[in-house]
Amino acid sequence: MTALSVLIVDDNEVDRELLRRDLKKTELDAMIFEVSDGEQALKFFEDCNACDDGYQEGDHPILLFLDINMPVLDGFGFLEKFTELRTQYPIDTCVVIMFTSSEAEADRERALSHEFVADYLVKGEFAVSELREKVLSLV
Amino acid sequence: MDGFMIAAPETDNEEERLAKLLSYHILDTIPEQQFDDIAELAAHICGSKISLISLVDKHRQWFKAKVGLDAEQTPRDVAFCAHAIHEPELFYIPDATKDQRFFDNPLVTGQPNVLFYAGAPLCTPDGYRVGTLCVIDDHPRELSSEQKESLMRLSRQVSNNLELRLHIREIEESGLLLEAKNEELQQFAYRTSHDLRSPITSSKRLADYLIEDLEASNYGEALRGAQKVKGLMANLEELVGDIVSLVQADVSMNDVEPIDLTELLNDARQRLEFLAVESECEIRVENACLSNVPIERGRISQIVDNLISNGIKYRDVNKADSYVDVKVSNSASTLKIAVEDNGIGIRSEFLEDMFKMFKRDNSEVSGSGLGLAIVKKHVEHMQGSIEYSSSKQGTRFNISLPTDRMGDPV
Repeated sequence: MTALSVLIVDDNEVDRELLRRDLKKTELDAMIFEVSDGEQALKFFEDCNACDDGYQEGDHPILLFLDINMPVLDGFGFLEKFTELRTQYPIDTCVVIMFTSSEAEADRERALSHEFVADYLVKGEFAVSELREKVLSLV
Repeated sequence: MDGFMIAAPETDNEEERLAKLLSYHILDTIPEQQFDDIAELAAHICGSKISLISLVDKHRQWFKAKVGLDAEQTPRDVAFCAHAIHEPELFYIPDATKDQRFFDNPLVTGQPNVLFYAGAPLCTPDGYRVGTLCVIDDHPRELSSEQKESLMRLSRQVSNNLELRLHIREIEESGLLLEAKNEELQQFAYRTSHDLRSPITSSKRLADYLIEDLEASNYGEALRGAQKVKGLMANLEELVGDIVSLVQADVSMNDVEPIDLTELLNDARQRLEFLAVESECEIRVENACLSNVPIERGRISQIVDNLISNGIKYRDVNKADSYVDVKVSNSASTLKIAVEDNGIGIRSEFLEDMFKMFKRDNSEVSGSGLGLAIVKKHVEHMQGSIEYSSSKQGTRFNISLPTDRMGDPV
């Protein structure tokens, strides 16, 4: 099995670091990339697509951890653009897990209304074992 | 009769009287039952054709209630009521054709033919007469002493209603103010609990990994982790400091005492020098010798600190010589503080929110989002004012503070 490709989209450096450590601790074989806002995340996907002549599944991240409150392009803004992007690139296997400190029910509902958003994690409110199970069930 | 009608002069306390009338917010409002009822009662008791509640404005009398008359208002110079408000007692004209002041008044010679007039003044508790409750007929006549007495009693009811209206308005206003304060407090509680808890939780989790790294002799990772904890703690320290400042700004700080502003400004510059050097930004202080300015030291210090550090944080890295200019002067009982930078400026859509708590123009610039909220609170407590202007060339804040709140400068 090839390594699981994961992209963390969060402007908070410490939160990215902690999630990276948590993922490492799950002992899943994962390649982890990090960007700090929605705009950079979109670019990441576009770059994946442009990097060689033939597009191959597995080149792009399979799993996205997406923060909500970010500068430039926030989590919800990204979800809108990502919906469009999915019609252009064969990336429909990519799923998103929200990764945010917002506990607002409205945010949760809004995020989960996108069919490719698989889960909603509140920062610091989950155990590593839980994270492992969630990731395994999705990929 | 010789001569012409005599218009009533202004009252002695005209300006204050008008201010009081305006404070009722009643001019040009729609009819209201409680006033209509009183006018009806007055006409009924006195057996008169016309009854009015007349409020005497700067150039007109305006009728809050009217029985037997269509007009909304008349010019003040022909108004009987403008005469009536000069007296605390009933103003009584049994036959206007025989009165020097009214005989050729157009309201007497033409419609509505005011030949009889009796007006009871509307006295406010603080002694202003803002109008009258009056009864009018188109023929000369008399009122019985009971009718006169009743008219005076009814006029007091009108005054009470006016005063009640004022109190209701005040209560509504303070209710709105309380609501806004409550909203602010809730927002404050929510944000502080989140912003305080989140770095603590993160630090604790970083510390867990730090211990694991040390146990596994991963010193490089451990060092990175420790540096992150340090960064979080530094931000937390700033946030806690700002929260304390904000809360303190609402209670009285130091006493107003003559302070040496030159020294205060130098202290501020020294405190922020490390930030300025790190950011390659120059703090330039310009002030005349300001050794005995009577003002609250703590508040001035926090205003200056916050404005300078904002200037440094929001510098423009594309400009060669970043600076923050601080100019302070004291004259005519006003202390002026101007802080100007050549930074990136404030986004125009942010200007509306910039004094609100936890609002930040750029989340990539570190800070608690409380700096300008603190500045605003201090300025408000000192009864001063803030002006600002901002563009891509930079930002300028001008703060004016009265220094004579505690008597003359020492």
